[in-house]
This record gives sequence, structure tokens and C-alpha cells, in this order.
Amino acid sequence: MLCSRHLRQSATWTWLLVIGATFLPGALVAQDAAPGGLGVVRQIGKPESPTRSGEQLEQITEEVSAKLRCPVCQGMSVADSPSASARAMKDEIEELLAQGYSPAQVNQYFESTYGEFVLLDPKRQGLNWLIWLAPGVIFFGGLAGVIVVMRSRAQDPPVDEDGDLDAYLDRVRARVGTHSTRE
Amino acid sequence: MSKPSKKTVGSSKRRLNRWVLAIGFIVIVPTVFLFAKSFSFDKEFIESPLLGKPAPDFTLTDLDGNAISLSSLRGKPVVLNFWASYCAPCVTEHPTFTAAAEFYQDQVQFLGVIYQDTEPRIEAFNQQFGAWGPTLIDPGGKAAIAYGIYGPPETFFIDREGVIRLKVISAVHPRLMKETLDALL
Amino acid sequence: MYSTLGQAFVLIALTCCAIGAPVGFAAGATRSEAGGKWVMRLAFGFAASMLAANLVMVAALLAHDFSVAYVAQVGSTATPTIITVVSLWSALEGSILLWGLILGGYIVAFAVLQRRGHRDYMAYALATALLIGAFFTFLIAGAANPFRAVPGPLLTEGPGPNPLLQNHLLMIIHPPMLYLGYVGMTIPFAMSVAALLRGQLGPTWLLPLRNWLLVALGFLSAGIMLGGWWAYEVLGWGGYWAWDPVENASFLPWLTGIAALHSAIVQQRRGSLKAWTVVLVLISFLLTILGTFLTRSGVVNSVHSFTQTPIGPMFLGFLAVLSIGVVVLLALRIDTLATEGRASGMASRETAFLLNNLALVSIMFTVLVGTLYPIAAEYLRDVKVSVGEPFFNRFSVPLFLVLILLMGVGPALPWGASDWRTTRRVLVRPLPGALVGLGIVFAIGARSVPALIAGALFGYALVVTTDQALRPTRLRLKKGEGLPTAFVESTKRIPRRLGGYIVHLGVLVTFLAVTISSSLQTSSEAALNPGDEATVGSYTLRYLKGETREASHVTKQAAVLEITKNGRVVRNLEPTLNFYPGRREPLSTPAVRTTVTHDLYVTLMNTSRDGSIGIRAIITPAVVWVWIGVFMMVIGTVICLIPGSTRKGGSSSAEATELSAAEA
Repeated sequence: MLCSRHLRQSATWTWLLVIGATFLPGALVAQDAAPGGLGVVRQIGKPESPTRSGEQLEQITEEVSAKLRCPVCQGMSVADSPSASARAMKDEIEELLAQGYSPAQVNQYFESTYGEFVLLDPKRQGLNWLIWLAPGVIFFGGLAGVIVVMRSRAQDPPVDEDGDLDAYLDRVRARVGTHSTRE
Repeated sequence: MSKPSKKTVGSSKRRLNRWVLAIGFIVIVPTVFLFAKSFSFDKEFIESPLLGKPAPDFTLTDLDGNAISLSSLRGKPVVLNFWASYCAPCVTEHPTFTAAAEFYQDQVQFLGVIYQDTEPRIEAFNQQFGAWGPTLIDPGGKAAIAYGIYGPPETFFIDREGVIRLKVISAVHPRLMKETLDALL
Repeated sequence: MYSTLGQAFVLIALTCCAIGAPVGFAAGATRSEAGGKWVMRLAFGFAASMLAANLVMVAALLAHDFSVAYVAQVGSTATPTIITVVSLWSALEGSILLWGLILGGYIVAFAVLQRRGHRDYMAYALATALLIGAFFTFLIAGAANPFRAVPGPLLTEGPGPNPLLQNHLLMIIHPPMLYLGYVGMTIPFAMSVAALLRGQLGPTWLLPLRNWLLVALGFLSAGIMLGGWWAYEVLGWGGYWAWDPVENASFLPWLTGIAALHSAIVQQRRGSLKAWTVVLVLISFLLTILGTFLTRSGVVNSVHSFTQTPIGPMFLGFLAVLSIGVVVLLALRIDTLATEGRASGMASRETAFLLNNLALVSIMFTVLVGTLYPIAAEYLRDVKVSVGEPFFNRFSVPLFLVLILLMGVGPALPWGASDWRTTRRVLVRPLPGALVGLGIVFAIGARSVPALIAGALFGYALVVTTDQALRPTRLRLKKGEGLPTAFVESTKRIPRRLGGYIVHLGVLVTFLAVTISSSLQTSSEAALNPGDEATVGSYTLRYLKGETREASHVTKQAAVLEITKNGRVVRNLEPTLNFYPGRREPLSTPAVRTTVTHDLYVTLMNTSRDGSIGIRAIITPAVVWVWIGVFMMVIGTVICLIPGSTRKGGSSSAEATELSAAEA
């Protein structure tokens, strides 16, 4: 795995180290620590996309941060939460996206440190498929049911009513029935 | 959607509708079972995916301006504690860290990282309770993100090879501190 | 003293339930008139002792008697009187006590209003309601006893209620409204159980059932809306709905309740779907208990939940027993509620109703599965997962669009069979409305596909709804009546019809407002020193000064901001950070400028010693219409509950005329 390094002080340093890191073989990140260079080494790999900026960056940052959980909140996304932690996360997301990391890479990075819990949109794998498929199964299954019911209803001759419907309703039915067939 | 409507007229039937029974139990039994199980789930505990992985490296400055990088501490177990002055368990665990830092002195490196707090407040805290080790400033919370911090305090025990062996959420119990460090040494 | 007195009343209430429920079921089974009278008396006894117990608790709170456990938990001499009274429902034990009172109130209202002409069902229904009451009273008497005496030396001061409750007026009204909705579901439930036990569900029982369902749904709508509004005004993130587990829990019975209401209409008009209506009502009630369990047991992570308590397992036990009971009862009796299916074409209003039920149940199911999945994943995969807003939106938005489509198509279609020419004609007619709706949403600036579809569906449904709502009036106009007479007369005949369409209009308003407000937010953040300015949209915010205000129970740091729009000073906004004693992190209260078209929403993010502040300003269009729409739904619900003039006397043909005229 290749590692890049984020330097707060100098963009040049960042680039030098990104390039440097690509030539370093192992994952022994510690050894490429530059003396005096401050920052945190992210285990995230190489950017997959070109760098982003401006409105495009802003928009994609919103999209990505709406799908990540604010760690100190209860179920709120990074995009929504006004908390300091969420803002820090949002800045980090923006920075990574600006450098050209793909949304998938950013998600992957946060998942690698926070665990799957940080993803508000459950991953499409294994048991999670259960909730991804359930809504469709219930809706289309039900739809088939409705069609079957309506079909059979339409073919059935009207069944005689038993005594617990009063005359008033019958009259309503009668009027409504004649009326709508006449139309 | 189950359509329980049966096309039957009259009211002489007293039979059990097996469909209703089956669907009902298929929904109820697992749901109730899962709820019953969920009482024993620890709401606070989220297992860190970093366990058994190399600790993310960083170079940060402490309150006195000294740069400290994690990789330079290789060969020594490291106790990395993310904390803030406003969190109650941080106060609770403070004596544990003070005692441990004194007990293990040169054998173990204790590092504190400020989690979403201001330096003046941290300094005031340290003045009141005493600092047990270097207190690192984490600008932009990048270290907290690299370690996946959900809220202070969280403590990582890193072995001599720089691999994370244990993550403790909330206050560290003195016995856990001792047992873990003895195992790492 | 309060402690003993309160516990005595709770025990009386428990006794009433414990005797009333079996007596009621026995009276129902034997059709004993004397037994029926006794159940009624015991129901009144339950309600009266619950009222007394609540009054005792309020008195204890006002007297600051810290020897009572609940007062020691939420009371404080520093709290203003009004807050002291409402702290009755600020914590778990008190809220269950209030729950008991509301249930008592419902039972009495039900017993009084439905006492005539329902002898067949009444004893069973009251017995069922008292059975539910027995569980809650049992909790109040035992595991969640608010009257427990505090051992040891008498305290002189308490911590005061949850700061979130003290923060805003809406939090005072929101919980009781929600409880009125939740508890209100008990009555339709009890009525359905009675129908099942009796093995019949005639129109004389269906109509009041529908009305009680309407009452519960009205309160539930108001409660959910107030919760969202409160979150918007207090939590400072600029939104009103976050698909939080507890919000979801209140939404689930609402969805199935609405489905039941529509299915009941089909049953009334066509005689079909009888069993299905009952199933939906039963599910709705079970979902309210599920929601209560989720909120009060702490099994799901949520902002709104009470802290974890020992009553969780008891609630689960109750839920389990209740659901099994319901399933067994259904399995035994459902076939007695035979459908008298009448022929209907595919393109008929029945189909629309069925699809409406399908969409509502699908949303309910999706939300339920999403809310509960984290528990399943933790058990089966041993991993904590989140199911959040992106997931719920993805699946519920299309289903909501289907619902709005049906709201447009359904009322336009005739009941029963119809030929394709008619169908085409009635469906094509409102199409210009769709174009106008689409145009409006586009003109406002929305470009996302779902928002544009929403706009078109809104326009279409709006045309159909207003057309349908005014149709009887128009018919009378044609007959030569004056406009006021025509409107009043047609409304008086069947208020339900007008009420229903007002509810639909409210839904449409809320729907469009949610669409617009969620897709067209603009926000900006700024760090300001006194005198600095920030802009968002056409607004300029000037930071005048910071202020620290001390109140009896809170310290507020306020930022005074002068708001200018297009060069004109509009007003000052003062977002605050509230520091409560005993709570480390401050709560941020936003300052909101609400206008008819948009809201300016400013939150104070932080304050620094050097005098600078961090603010976030959000402009959200149409937010106020979200509340207005729900308000319309509530008004419409109230109109639906007004009895029509046709019920009196024998002129039932008048309603038939009116109804059939409306189909034309």
C-alpha cells in the first residue's frame, strides 16, 4: 500500500512526499516521516481522480458528508451537524476530495478508522442486502397482490350482502353504482 | 403485504387461519428475540477497525512547542489518550494516568492528544491536575479522524512494533492499565 | 404525604383495571347487561384515580417535596412555575403517569360518546382498553414508580428538568400531543378487538371506529409536526426531520393509521377490505407500543430517548404478549369478517385505494426494517452499522411520490367499474395543473429530477383535490343556489368530505414545502469580530456585540446581529449558546427570521475570548409551509369529526345524493 502525507505548512512538501511515497515500497509509514514536518499520515492510498475545486468541490463535499455519521452526534450526518467534530470531519473530507480522492476512497478511509458504523448508507454486501432488497420486495410483491385481487374482484359476480350493512349504504351504493357505469 | 381477506360468506367458520398465524409468528418471534438480545449490547462500544493494525503515524507539537512523532517512539509501548477538559471521564481517569506514568516512567511513553478543546482550557486543566505526559495539539482534528475517535476519552495501547493492541472507550480502569502494559512490556 | 397519597391512587387505578378487564370480557361473552354497567363504572374509576394521581404529582412538584422520587429527579426550586408543572412529563416516570391520565381520559370519552347503541361491542372494547391500562398502571405502581419515597435525609434542592425541555415552548406541547396520538390509538384498537371477538364489523361500529382513528391520527400528526418544529427551532442544524429512530417510531403508526383510514373508506363504500382494515388498526396500535418501547428502553441510539431503565424488558414482554395475542385472535377470528366483494374495474377508485395502502405499508415496512436492522446486524454480524437519512430518503421518496400521484389520480377515478374513455377523460383533464406545478418548482430554482416530478404531481393533485372538494358546491350552484348557501349547505351535509380534502390539501402543502425546503437550502459560515459583516443570499449580517445573560436556570451567551436585506435593516437576530448548570456542552439555540417565502436561520457556533464569534446562516425556502400544511391536516381532521346533518332524521338519501353527485 502506498501512503501519502499531509503537511499543513507547505503544499510543495505535500506533493514531494506524495511523489516520494509512491516510490516507497512497504507500508512502513513511519520511516518516511520528514523531520519537522507536522501532520498525520492517512492510510488512504493514491488519489484516483483529478484535483477538484470551486463549486464542484463544494457540491461533492456536501454529497459525501451527508452520507457519513457525525461521530459525536446521535444519527446526524456530518453535513447536518453543527458540532465542532463534524466540522473537522467535513474539512477533512473537503481536503481529501480537493486532492482528488474519490468519494469511495474517502468513505473507505473513514470506515477504516471509525468502522462501518460511520457509514449512514449501509454497504451493499452480505447481510446488508436484506434491507436493500426488502423495500422493493414488499412493494412489488404487494403490487402483484393488488393486481391479483383486483383481477379476481373484477371477474367475480357481486356477492350478496349479508344483513349487517344498512339500507342507507345500499342506497349510496346503488346510486353511485348506476351513476358511474352510466358515465 | 398479506391479503388476509378470504372470500367466504357466512359466519359459521371457527377455523384457525394458518396464514395469519404463520406470518404473525415469522415477524414477531425473531423481532422479540433480537430486542431481548439487544439489551445486553453495549451502546457505547464500537469495535475499532484499527486493532491489530499499525498505528497511524503523526508528527504533532505539544503545548511547549516540541514536535513529537509517533514513529520515533518505536521500540517502546505507547499509551495514546485522546481527551478534553470538558469531559467527566477524562477527570476520572486522570489519576490512573498520573500513577501509571510515574510507575512505568521510561518503559512506556504516555501521550495525550487534545480532542476538540482550546489550549487555554487544557492548560488550566493541566495546571489544576498536573500533566502526566506531553499534551499534543491536533490541529483540525486530523489525528482524531485517523484514529476514529467518537468522543473523549479514548485510549489506544500501542505495542513496541507500533501496532495497536487495545482501544479503551471512556475512562481507563487502573487494573486494565496495569494488565495491558505488563502484557505489552 | 404526597408519596403515600399518590401511590394509593395508583393502586386504586390498578385495581379498577385488574377487575374491569376480566369482568368486561366476561360481560361481553355472556352479553350481560349488569356486567357491562360494572365495566363502565370501573373504567370511570380508573380514569378518576389516574387524574387524582396526576394532580398529586403536580402538587408535589409545586410544593418541591423532594422526598418524592420523581420530584427529587426533576424538581428544582430555581425552576419557573410553569416549567415545574410541565416537568411532569420531562422524564420517564412522569411521562408514563401522564400516559395513564390520557388513557383514562380517552376511555371516559369513548365510554360516554359511544354508550348508546353499541351494547354488542362496548364491554369487549372497554375491557381491552382497561387491559392496556393495567399494564401501564402496573408500571407506574412498580418499576417506574414516580411516587417512591426517597430514603435518607430530606433533600432541599434538585437538579431541575432536562435542559432541552426548558429551552423552548414547543417542547412543552410536543410530548403531550404525541402521547395523545399514541394513546389515542388504544381506542380504535380496543374497538377492533371487540369487532373480532364479536365476529362482526357493521357500519354502526365502523363509523365511530373511523372517527376515533381520526382523533388519534390528528394528534399524532400534530405531535410529529411539533417535534420537527421543535428540532428546527432548538437543535440548531437547520432541519426538522432526521430519520432518527424515535422519529421513525412515531411515524410508523401514523403510516398504518392513514392506511387503515383509507381502507375503512373502501369498506364503507364497497363492503370489501373489512379484515384488512382491522389488521391495519391492530398493527398501528402495536407500532405505538413498539415506538414507546424503543423510546423508553434505550435499545436504539437516539437523541430523543430517555436514559436506559429497567422497564425496557417489561415493555418488551408486554409487546411480545400483546402481539402474540393479536395474531392468535386474528387467526381465530379473521374469517368471520367476510368480505362482500363487489365488482370493480382495474381503473377504479378501489384500485387507487389499494395502491395507496400498498405504498403506505411499504414505507412503513422500509422505515421499520431500516430502524431495526442495526440491532439485527449487531447480533448476526457482530458489527455496529448505521442506517441513516440517505437510506430512508432513497426508498421513501419514490413511495411518497407514488402516494401523491394516487392522491391526484384516485379521487378523479370513479368507484366501481369504468370504461377506458371515462378513465382517460378524467385523468387527462387535470394535466395542465401538472405543467403549472412543474413550472413553479422549476422557476423557484429546483433542478433535481425528484423535485421536478414532485412539483408536477403537486400541481396535478392540487387541481383534482380542489375540484373534488368544491364539486358539491358547484352542483348546487348549477341548481341556482347562491354561492354562500351552496357552500354551507353542501358542507353541512357531509363535512367529512370537505374535511378529507382539506387534509389532502394540507398533505400537498407540506409535501411541496418539504420538497422545496430540502432541495434549495443555501448556507454560509463566518467568523466575525464586532463590526464585521457576513452575507448569505440577499441578507447581510452585521455582528454588533456579544452579551452574557444570566437567568435562574441558564447562562446565555448571545450574539446580537443586525440583519440587512437589500440595504434595508430588517431586524436584529440573537442566536445564543445556552450553558446549563450540570451540563458541560452548551446547547445552541438558533435565531430564526420566518417569512412567508423563506427562513433565515442563524446559529452561534462558538465564541472566543478575543470577542470573535463563529456563526452559520442558512436560508431555507418555504419552511413555514411545512407547519402550515400539517396545521391544515389537523383542521381538516376536526372538520371530518363534525357529524353530518344527514345522520339526524331519516334523510339518508341526502348523503347518497351528495356522494353520487360528487362522483360525476
